[in-house]
Amino acid sequence: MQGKFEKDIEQQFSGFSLVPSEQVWEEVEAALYPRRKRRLIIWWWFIGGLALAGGGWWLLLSPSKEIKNTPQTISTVKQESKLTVPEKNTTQLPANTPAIVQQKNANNIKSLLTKNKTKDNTANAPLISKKISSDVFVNKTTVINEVPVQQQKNVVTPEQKITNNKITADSSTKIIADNIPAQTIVNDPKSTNVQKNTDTLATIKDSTVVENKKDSTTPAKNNAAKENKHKWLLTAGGGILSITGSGLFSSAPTPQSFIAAPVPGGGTSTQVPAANSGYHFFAGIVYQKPISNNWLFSSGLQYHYLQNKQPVGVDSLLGGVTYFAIGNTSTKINYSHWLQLPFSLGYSIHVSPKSQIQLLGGGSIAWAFSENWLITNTSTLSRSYYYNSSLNNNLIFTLRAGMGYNFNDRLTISILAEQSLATIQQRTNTTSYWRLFSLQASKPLSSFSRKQKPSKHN
Amino acid sequence: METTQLLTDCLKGKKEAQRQLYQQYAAVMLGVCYRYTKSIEDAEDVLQEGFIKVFTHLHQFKREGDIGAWIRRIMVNTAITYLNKHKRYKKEMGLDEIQLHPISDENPEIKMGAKELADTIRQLPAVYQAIFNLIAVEGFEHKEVSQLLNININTVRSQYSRARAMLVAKLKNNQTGEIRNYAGEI
Repeated sequence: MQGKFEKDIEQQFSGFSLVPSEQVWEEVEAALYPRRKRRLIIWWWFIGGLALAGGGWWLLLSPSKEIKNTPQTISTVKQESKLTVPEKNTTQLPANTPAIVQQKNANNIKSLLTKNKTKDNTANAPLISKKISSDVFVNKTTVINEVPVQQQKNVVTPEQKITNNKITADSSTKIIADNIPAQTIVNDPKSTNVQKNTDTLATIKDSTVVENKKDSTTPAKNNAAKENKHKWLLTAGGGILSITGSGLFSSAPTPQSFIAAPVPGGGTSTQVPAANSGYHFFAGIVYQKPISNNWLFSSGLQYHYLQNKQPVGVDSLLGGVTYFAIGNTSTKINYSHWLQLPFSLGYSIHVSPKSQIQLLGGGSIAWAFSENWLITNTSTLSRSYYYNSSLNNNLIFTLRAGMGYNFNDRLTISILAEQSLATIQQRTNTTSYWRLFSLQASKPLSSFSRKQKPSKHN
Repeated sequence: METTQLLTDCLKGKKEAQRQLYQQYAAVMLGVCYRYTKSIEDAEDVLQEGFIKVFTHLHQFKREGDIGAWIRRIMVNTAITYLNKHKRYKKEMGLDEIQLHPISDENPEIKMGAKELADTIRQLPAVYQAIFNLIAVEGFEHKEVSQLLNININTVRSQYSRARAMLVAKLKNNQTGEIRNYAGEI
C-alpha cells in the first residue's frame, strides 16, 4: 500500500549505509567466543584449587602426625639403637655456670634414673617424656648436633621427641650444652639397667637439659614456649572499600571522579559519577611461623567479600553484556567473592614478655570466583559502565601493609591497608583499583582447646 | 568467496568467514539500525546485538531466500526489541504520550540525501519513527506491524497516518530552511 511518497523514501534508503566502529565487531566476537575460554579457565582453576587444597591439607596434617607417632618411635629406639655415650664425652658444666643450675641438672637426671631402675624403658618412655616436658627446656639446634649420624638414622631426632612431647625451646632460654654428667650416669655402678638407660640417657642427653633464667617448671612458661612455634590462627575482619584511580605504581593516575566521557556530536565533556565507598569482610585460617625472635612469616586461606554501589544511567543489554549510560538514574550494587591467599612478613617489637607490636607487610593472590562489578568505559556515553564478566575467574594480586598488637599471645588485633595491583578495567584505558582498609582479629586455634588440656593429662 | 560457501564456513564456526559476512553487511545494516534509533551509539548497539543473533541463529536460515533480507529482518526485530526495552525509548513508544497530529495526504518531493532524510525521520517520536520505518521503508503490512509492536491494527493505521503527516511537515520545514540557507549564501 505504498504511495509515491513512500516509494521515494524507500528509494532514497536503498543504498544507505554507515560504517560501524571497529568496536562493534570486537564486541560481537567477544560475545560469540567467551564460553570455550571460560571453560578452559575454570579447568585451570579447578586444578589450581586442588593443588592449593592439597598443599593446605599437607600443611595442616604435618604437625599432628608427629604427635601420633611418639610411642612407636621411642620403642624403636629401645630395640634397634645401641647408643653409647663415649666416656670421654663427660662434660663438665662451664666454670661460670651458676651453682643452682648444676644442682638442678643433677637432680633432674637423678630422679629420672631412679625411676628407670624399676621400670622397663617402654613404660618409662612416657614417664620420662612427661618429666622432660614439665621440667626441661631444650634447644633443638644443640641437640641435633650432638647426635651421631648413625644414631640419627635409627633414632627419632631429639627435635622430634621434643616436639612430640610438646617441649619447645623458649627463645629467651639460655642453653648450656653438654652440661649433663653423662659418664656418671651411664657408668653408675648402682644402675641395674645401664643399657636400657643408655637409650633414655641418649634422649635426655640429646634433649640437653637446660636451665632457664626463670622458673622453668611454670606452666605458663611452657605455654609461652609452645606458642613460639608455628601456629594456626583463625582470622576475621572487615572494613572500608573504595575504588581509586591511583595505582601503586602507575605514573599517571586517572581519578575516578573526573573521568570525562565525550558527548556525541559535541566538543563538551561530562563526568562519570564515582562509585560510592563500600565495605568488605573476610574470614579464614592463617599459618604463622616464626623465623627468628622478631621475624615471622604468615600465610593462609580466606574467603573475602567486597561490595560497593555505583550510580548509573539507563541500562541496555547487548549480546549478554549489560551496559549502563552515564547519569544517576539508578544505583547498582557491585559485589565480588574472592578466595584469597594472603602472605606476609611480620616484625615483632616486644613490649612485654608476651605481648608484641607487629609490623606487617606482604601481599595476596585472590581468585575472584563470582562477581558482578561495573567498570567504566569512557569511549561511549551510552555505554559508560558495563559488567566485566571476564573479571570472573581472574587472579587479583594485592599488596598489603599494616600493624597489629598481640595480646598475651591469645589475640592479635591489626589494622591493614591493601590495594589491588592490576586495574579493574581490562578492556578500556580507564584505570581503577580496589583499595581496602580493614580491622582484623586473629586468634590461635590452640587457644580454643586450651581449657581441656589438664583433664587429658590427668 | 561465494555466499553459500561463506555461510557454510560461518556455520562451521570459522572466525574469518564470520568476519567476512559481517563486513559484507555491517554498513548497510547500520543504516537500517540508524533509522530506528536516536543515536549512532544505540544504532551500533542494535547492530552488535543483531549480528550476535545472526551468527547464533544462522542454522535457521533457509538458503532459499536472500541472506541480506534475512539479516535485515533480524536487525529490524532487534531494533524494535531494543526500543521496547530501553527506558528512553519505552517512554516515547507509549502512544498516550504522543500528541495527535492531523492526517495529511500530501506527497512532497524529497530533496535531501539519505542521511538527512534519516535524521529527519529520527526527529519523530519513537513510536512514529518505528511505525513509519516499518511501513514506508521496510514495506511491512499493517498487520505485521501490529503484531511486532503489540498494538491494535487500527491504531497502527492511524499512527502511521499521523507519523507520515508529521514527517511531511518536518520535511517541508527542513527543505524550506535549506533553500533559505542556500539562498542566503548566494
